[in-house]
Amino acid sequence: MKLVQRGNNQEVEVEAERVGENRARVRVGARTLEIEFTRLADGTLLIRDGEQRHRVFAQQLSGDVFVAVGPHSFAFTPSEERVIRPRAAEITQPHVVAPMPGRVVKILVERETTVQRGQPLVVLEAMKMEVVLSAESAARVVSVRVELGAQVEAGSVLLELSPLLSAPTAENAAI
Amino acid sequence: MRRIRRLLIANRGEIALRIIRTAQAMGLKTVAVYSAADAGAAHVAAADDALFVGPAEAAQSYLNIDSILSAALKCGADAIHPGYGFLSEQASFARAVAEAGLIFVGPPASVLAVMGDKLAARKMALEAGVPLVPGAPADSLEAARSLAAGIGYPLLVKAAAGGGGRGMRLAHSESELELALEAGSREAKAAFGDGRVYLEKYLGRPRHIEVQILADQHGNVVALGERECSVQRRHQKLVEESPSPALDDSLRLQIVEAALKLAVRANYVNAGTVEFLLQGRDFYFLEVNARLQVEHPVTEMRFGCDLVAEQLKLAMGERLKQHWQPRGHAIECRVYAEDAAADFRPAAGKVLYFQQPAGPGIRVDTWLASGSEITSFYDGLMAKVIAWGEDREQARRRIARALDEFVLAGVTHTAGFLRDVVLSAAFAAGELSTRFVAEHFAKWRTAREPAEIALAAAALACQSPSSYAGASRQDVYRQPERSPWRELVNFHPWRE
Repeated sequence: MKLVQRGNNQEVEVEAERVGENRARVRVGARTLEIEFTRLADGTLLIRDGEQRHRVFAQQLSGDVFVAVGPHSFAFTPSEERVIRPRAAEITQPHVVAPMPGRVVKILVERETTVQRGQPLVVLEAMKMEVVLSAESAARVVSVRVELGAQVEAGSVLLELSPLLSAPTAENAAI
Repeated sequence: MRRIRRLLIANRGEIALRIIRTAQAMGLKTVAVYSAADAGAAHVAAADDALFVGPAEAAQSYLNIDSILSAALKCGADAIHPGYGFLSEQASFARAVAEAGLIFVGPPASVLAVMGDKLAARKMALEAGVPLVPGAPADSLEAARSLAAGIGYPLLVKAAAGGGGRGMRLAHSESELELALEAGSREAKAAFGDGRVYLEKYLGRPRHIEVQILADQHGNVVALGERECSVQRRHQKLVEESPSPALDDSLRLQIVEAALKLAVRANYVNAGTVEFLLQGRDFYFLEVNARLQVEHPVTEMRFGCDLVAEQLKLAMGERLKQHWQPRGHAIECRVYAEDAAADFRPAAGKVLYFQQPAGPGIRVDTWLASGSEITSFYDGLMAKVIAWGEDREQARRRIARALDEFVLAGVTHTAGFLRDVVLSAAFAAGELSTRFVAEHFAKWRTAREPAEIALAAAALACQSPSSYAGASRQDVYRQPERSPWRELVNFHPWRE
């Protein structure tokens, strides 16, 4: 399966094989890990990988997988999930999606506007930081789905765009 | 002497909980206030009573003076502790509290007004004979040009009415001055409603040193050592410690004396912090934070004191009698809900699992538990982890180990980043400056091994959720598509 890490959008191929009650062989990208795990009383795992020991929590929730390995925290989305998530952008359309929760402070375009690649579209504000979302490719704004001042969640669609080139077909659509 | 019997805490999160704990231990009744986003929060549960003060937006709740005051009057509070941030340095709030016949746990409105105005504070420092970063107000381009000739380049244009880097611009040469003035003034006006700016010499690699002071209502002032807060990012402190590895006894004495002189001149009352920048052996006054600070536990661990208890006693009119002696070294790390590997982008979400660090010399100040929601309405401070040791090296090893134990899933946080910071050679050597993060951790990423283990664990969790860890108790839990705190707008308040 493919897992995409939220934050760096890196997609990694992983294949896990349970080898007995407390062992697993996991291929992570190009590397293979042989791990042993012990389930602890509070639902976490102690994972041993050779010499190293790690305290791990992992839980799948609404499609995403939230993991903690010691002091490090991660959120992954299984690649297939992106097709069926109701709030995620359609893969064939370059919609503008909020990368994090925040408040819409500027909407720089309106319906039927034509935008160029790199053109700023929406500005979100979260925790005193401003994030500018720009067009990834030349497109036409089909609809503006939020209002100025709206509080949005990560993954919510802010603008619907349709590319100016012909729409990708099933064969060439990126997964 | 005015006794406080019922204290209202006009704040939220970890500081509200921390204040409530001290007040309760002193035998005071406590009242919490909460917004629609905080109805189920830890500080609400801990207080003896709680009052709803408005919607999630801070401006309509925690910053709403009328709402806070009416809550205080309704519950019969005789004092209000403002915590830090929010209304803690608003002279108008302190005045309104006093006019309502209540005790404001902090300096009087007159002192807040002076300390809140950077130019007035600088003038006071000058009068007190405290060294200042060379600079002066600039009300026109002409005035600025001649000032700049005296100060020298590079220089900073700074807002007179506020901080946090807003309204601040760097000018490397005369050709950049006009633009810096215009842009700085415009941003200052937008952020603080006041476009006044002043010019200040830019110090290349300074260290941030601050002095904790306590003052009673009878003219007595005492300093409880210094803290070094050089490890920062965009003016947000990340790691603080006491004592500062940069000071010898002579320099420490000079800085502490300067802070005391200023406090006396300002007729300071209650707790406060005088901040300085240090470059080499030269130190310069920066500003006064006329409130309790986030990093106050560092001083508490070293001096064996409870600063909130002292604030309450001072607010009741008690005299400063106690002499505190420092012992050992303390270091604090602030864990924020941010993605340190993605330019510290703010994160939000629900805490699915949280194990708090513990152990000898370890203190954790947090409001979080499993199920807590981090939203984008408030700042993302999740927890403060503080370690005390007999010396700096023991404190440093203890805090690194404690951060290793900070296991939290569901919201991206910076504990792993902070652990790498305190384990770095530069931090171990005490080679700090406000450029530390930019110089040593500009492109931090999680190490390969924990990232691989995370991917392996995620794959296993997806494969067989019912037989795998984490899901056993939370199988039945389904995160709703709409976050629960949104629905709290319709939530029936505890007390109207």
